[in-house]
Amino acid sequence: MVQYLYAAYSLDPASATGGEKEKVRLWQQQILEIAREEMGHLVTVQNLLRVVGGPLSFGRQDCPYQSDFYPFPFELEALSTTSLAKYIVSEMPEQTTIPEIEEIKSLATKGNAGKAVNRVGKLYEAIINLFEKLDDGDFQPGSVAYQADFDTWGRDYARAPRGTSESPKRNAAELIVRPVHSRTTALAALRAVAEQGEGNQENESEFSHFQRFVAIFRHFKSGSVPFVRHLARNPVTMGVTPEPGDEPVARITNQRSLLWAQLFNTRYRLLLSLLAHALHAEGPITISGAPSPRGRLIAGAFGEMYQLRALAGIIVRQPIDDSASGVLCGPPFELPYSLALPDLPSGRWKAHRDILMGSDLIIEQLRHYGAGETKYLDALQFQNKAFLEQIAPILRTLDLPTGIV
Amino acid sequence: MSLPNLLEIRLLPPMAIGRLGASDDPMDNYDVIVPDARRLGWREVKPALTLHVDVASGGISGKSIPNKLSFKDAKGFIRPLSPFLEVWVRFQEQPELVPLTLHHLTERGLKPSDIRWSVHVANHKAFRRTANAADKIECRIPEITDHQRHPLPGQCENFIKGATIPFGFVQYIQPTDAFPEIRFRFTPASGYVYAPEGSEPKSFHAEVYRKDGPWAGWPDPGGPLSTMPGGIYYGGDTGKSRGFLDDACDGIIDVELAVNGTKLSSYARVMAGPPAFAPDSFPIRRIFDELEMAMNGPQSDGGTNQDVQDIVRRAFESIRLMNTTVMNGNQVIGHGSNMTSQDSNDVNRYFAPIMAPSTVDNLAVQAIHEYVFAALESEVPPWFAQTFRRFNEIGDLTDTGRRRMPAMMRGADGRYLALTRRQLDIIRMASGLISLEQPAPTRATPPLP
Amino acid sequence: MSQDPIEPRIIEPLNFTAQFSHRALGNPPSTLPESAISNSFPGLECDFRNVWRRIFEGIILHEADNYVVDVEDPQFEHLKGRRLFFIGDAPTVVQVHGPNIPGADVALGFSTLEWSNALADKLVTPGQEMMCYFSKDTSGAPLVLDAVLSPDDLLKKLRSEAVQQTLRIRKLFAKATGDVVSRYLPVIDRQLLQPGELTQSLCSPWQNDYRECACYYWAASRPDFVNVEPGPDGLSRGQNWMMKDRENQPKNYLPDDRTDSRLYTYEELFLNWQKLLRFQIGGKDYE
Repeated sequence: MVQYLYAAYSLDPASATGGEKEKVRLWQQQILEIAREEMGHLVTVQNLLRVVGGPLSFGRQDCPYQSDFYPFPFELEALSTTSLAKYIVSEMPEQTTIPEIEEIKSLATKGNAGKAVNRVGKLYEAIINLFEKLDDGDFQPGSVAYQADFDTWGRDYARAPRGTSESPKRNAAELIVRPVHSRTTALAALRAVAEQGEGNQENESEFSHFQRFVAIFRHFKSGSVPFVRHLARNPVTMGVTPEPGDEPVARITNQRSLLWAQLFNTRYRLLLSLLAHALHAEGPITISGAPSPRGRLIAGAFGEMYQLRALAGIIVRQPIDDSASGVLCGPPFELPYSLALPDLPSGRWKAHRDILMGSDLIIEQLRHYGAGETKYLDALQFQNKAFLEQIAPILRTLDLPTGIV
Repeated sequence: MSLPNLLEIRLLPPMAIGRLGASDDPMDNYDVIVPDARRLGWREVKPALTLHVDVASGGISGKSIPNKLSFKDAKGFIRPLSPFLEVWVRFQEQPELVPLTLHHLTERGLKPSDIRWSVHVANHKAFRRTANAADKIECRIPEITDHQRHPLPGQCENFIKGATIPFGFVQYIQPTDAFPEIRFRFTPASGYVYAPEGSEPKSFHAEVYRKDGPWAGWPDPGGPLSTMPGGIYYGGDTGKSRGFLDDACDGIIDVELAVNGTKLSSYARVMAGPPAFAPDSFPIRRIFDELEMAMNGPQSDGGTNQDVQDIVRRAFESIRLMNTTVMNGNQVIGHGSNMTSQDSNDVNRYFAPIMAPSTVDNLAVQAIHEYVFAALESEVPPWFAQTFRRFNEIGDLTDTGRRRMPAMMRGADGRYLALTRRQLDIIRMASGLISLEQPAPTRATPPLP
Repeated sequence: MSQDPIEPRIIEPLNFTAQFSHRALGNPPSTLPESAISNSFPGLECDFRNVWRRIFEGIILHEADNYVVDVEDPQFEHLKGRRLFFIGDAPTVVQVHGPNIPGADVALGFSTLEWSNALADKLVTPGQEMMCYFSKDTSGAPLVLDAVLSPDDLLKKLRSEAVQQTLRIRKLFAKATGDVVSRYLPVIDRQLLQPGELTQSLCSPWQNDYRECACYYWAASRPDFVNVEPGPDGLSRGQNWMMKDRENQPKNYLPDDRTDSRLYTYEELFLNWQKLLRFQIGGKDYE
């Protein structure tokens, strides 16, 4: 999903000419929608983990790349026909009739250092098999109180495109966030997620991720490329000693760009922290009628998504180093050293506070180095302050009243 | 050397709002400013340059910036907002309008009394319901050329003999060398409530209406002529009016000046309504937006992030003063008075909160607006144009439909609020969208030959 | 937005926005249309919907409904009592739909669109004649769901059996006369609206409306939730603007209830609203 975001942010509609502008803007929007749907998948997967008693999981596992399941190594790269090919193959259904599929597959393999790209569908098939084999007792219906639901998380979703029925029946163009409490609901959720990716065999949905990527691929091939920013591949803020077989990374060395990237990472970390905290809190299904501090966490999570959008827009205009090579930085989405959430509620809120304070330090550095965007930095700092003021009473309260998350 | 001709006059502003209050001391001027455009905070309300009118002479005795903002006087009465109207003029050889002054008059051999004013204000609230023309409360002052303060007594055939409802005052301000502009001031009424003879309990200021008049005890027939909402008068819950009236009014002020045998004229509208009790906050959708759209059409020429931020700011200012938990339909204590109850009562939409109940605490809702506002400060184009309710989607009461923006608030049609088409078009333009409709992604599988 | 009388003041005659927004010296911003709500149901400063009643020459529409309440031109006498369903291709009503039970999405009724938005694209060509489609039925009964026909089919039927009439749409603004640079003036034409008509459909007395209808569209003008601060759990604590006792701690919001004596009553407001109600600055009671 993060890879899709990177790809979307690499598009620059403003630099396209004439009629292409609208097309490029549309592609960007469509890929962002796909990413948002992937986020829905991520959240639904957390629900699935919860229902069988597992822990939440936001990390990207390092996986042997030759595994049968992992589609392709995690790679942040600008959109290209090659990267599109990889996305298409990873999302494709088992059978497809599109004529250029062999061409796409071979392009994908080439882009994957010669290794074939796996279908994510295979992974889902395996998980579906697994869930079918579980005992009834393995499903914990009470966990629903701690799961994510569409009402709470389905914010800002775009309406279905023109030409489709606006009926609320679930179709592939909607955000899938479902609580699951049983085998039946778990399997239905898994199948819906899989179908959103690859489409439905009997009734080829127009809006599966597979179909949408293919449509973009076709147009992309025929268009010119200036509307894609020259973003570095896998930009990182920290030096890493590469292991054999690792993908190459691009170290961000321009001082200001580095600070922007660090700020981005910090807000990304805050997003994950808020998300995890919100999912660790009892949801609306048990607290009826009352708002809960969980609401502020959710507002915060969405708020951070908006800031990441804003920061990504700034970062993709920054140079990666001082060489004037023209290579630009991209949002690095580097994970923090730990995603573990403190055990106690007060600790969790303090963790958010600490991240915000860290973010403030980076902002001060950005100002010190004359990084521009002062209006936005002012606005962001004010927002930081407002959040801290709002949670100050929570932080002051040593013994939190019951029900406080 | 001949003086440039006066070609036209205008009375500005074309629509002035007075706000009721019983104090003899009109409200001072104040400014409302955004102290820092980068944040959503409170606008600052600061005393501003105030003109002091000497009511006896009709002239301005001085101007000053008050030390303190006082909406009420020492007795606790609200100080009425009493707007000035100014006469502006366009001269030959100068394309712009400028304020007409005493000097412009005298150098053309004219006097202030050559400017004639006439006033016509009215309150037709009873008439609107009873359809009885004798229920119209009217005040006409056909010609004012002096600088006295003229009261505006509202007269009605169905009033007790001799009774009137005072609608306030008007005064043609005497222009002087120190304050040479041509001004007219409308001072609204005290905000009193009036009733028919013999009304009990005595929860009103005075009895003015005949106890046997059609408005007293008017039985509401319902039907297609009803106002919407209906029954919004004292006694409305019983279907029978108690015959109460107020001293709000609206009307027209005309101004006329004869120059060289040509009569130049203009008019403006005035109205008197309740005070703006949160003067540092402004509504999302304003009369200004209606006028803009009526003048310039539903399509905008452009839209910037700042335009969108203005809308976000006003949305923030509204929700901030609103109990969003109750407005959302959370089952706090009973169902509460909110749109979700209306949905059930009006059309049997089953009662349910609009947004997930745990997410609507006022501070969380404020936060979302703040985050959006902050992100827009980076010039990232708005990403949320399609989350707004379009004008013809007010019928969509599904969960999706009710969650569109603006949320929880009522529109002029009684359903959920939609922005004006022009406001939404501004957001669309700022977002870089050609259209709010987006084409469906094309099918990847080629069509059959 | 501060006023300085020393600066020369000029306004472009064609800049209507500047004229609507003109703060005559000494006038606070709350005297202007920018401070007045326009989601009029019915409104506060005025019920702006009344401007649309005479927007078609010769007939008078209901300010909030598609019903022809009267005619001013005798040639249109036959339209009185009918409902205007289509202006050209554009319907004046919209289907209301949603769940009557959880999970459903069914037709629940119809709603008339507010005129301001419904007419917006028509007003760009003032003086133009448009074909209008009026109901065959003259009973004045509102449009309801049909037992047999779907809402779309019902509208089609209404259009096919409609009484058709071309009507001319007016300009909202007064025509300028004399030696002028603009065709129109920035004031609403007196032919459309007589004195008294902008406020006639508001509450009588307005204090009645103030007490009820909570705040669900005019919180910036008539506050609801005041003296708000975060509680120990980070959730908001505040008070109802209509509460008599502001001293209670912790802060408590009492929802709107006409019979709750802890909130100001109608009668108390009629007599004493201006002493009882408090201005809000920064969301807190002022003075």
